[in-house]
Amino acid sequence: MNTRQKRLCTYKDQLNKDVQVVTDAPSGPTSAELSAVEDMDVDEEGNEKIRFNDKPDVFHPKTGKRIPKLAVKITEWRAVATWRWKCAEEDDCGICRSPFSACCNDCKFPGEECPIVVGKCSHTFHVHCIQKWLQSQQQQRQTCPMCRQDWKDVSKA
Amino acid sequence: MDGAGAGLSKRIIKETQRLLQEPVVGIDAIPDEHNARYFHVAVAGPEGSPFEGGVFKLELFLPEEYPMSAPKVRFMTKIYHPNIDRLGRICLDILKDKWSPALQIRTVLLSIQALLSAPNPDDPLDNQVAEQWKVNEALAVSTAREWTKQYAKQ
Repeated sequence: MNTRQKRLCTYKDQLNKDVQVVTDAPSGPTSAELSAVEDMDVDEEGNEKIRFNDKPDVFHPKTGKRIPKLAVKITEWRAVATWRWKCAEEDDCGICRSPFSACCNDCKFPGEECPIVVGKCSHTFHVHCIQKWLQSQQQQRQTCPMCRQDWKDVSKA
Repeated sequence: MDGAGAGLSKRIIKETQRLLQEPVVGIDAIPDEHNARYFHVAVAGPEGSPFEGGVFKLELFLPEEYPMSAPKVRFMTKIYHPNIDRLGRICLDILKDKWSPALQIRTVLLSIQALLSAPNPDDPLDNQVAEQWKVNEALAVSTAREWTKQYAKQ
């Protein structure tokens, strides 16, 4: 058994434990939990087993390295919550042109890590975008990119 | 588009796609096949201006800091205009101290097209042309028309 197989087994054991907790829950599993265990098989002794992805290994055409694949197949997922910033719904950031529901060009994930800020002039930007602009304007007046009024962050107040 | 494509911001990709999908009337901006930050631009001379009927070639380059600093734009076609010098450099505030990251390639090129409609000899880049524009506007306009015929034909 090589390291990779060992690692997969550990992962599998953990999953079995988690599933046990779910099935033991008095209220019974929710639909989301059920869909998460769809990929489990039950063996003769009633133990749930995860079905391994049995597709052949895929190798990178240039480096020849094996491309890691998921040991489990996701057959279905259900979102349980959404969030959005308190601002005009379909607005894009005037600097990076990405919607506020997405993050700025430098971040990978939207949310608290890439917040938005509101100026006194009521224009809104990703905090990273406006910071970058104000930093590049150090020698000059710090102005809003949209209206050229002096920039004052009022979102903290 | 490799190489230069590395580190290309989402914004540049978005702008380029939109320029190609929804082009501005009278303005062509095509990214260079080897450098996605370099655009080959053609602007039609606005109707009613001495540049009408001409097609002016420009080059536009997005520096590393874009959109925190302005694109570099230059006329490649010879043009008789008080705010454009013989090297094709353009005197336009939004390309210098009035740049804002809320501006885009599209808006910059529209501003340049508008500058062709409204020469401003009080803020000259080419003193000789500006002087001519102030002293004898009719002659300046006819020279501009002449140059358009001579250099800006498709």
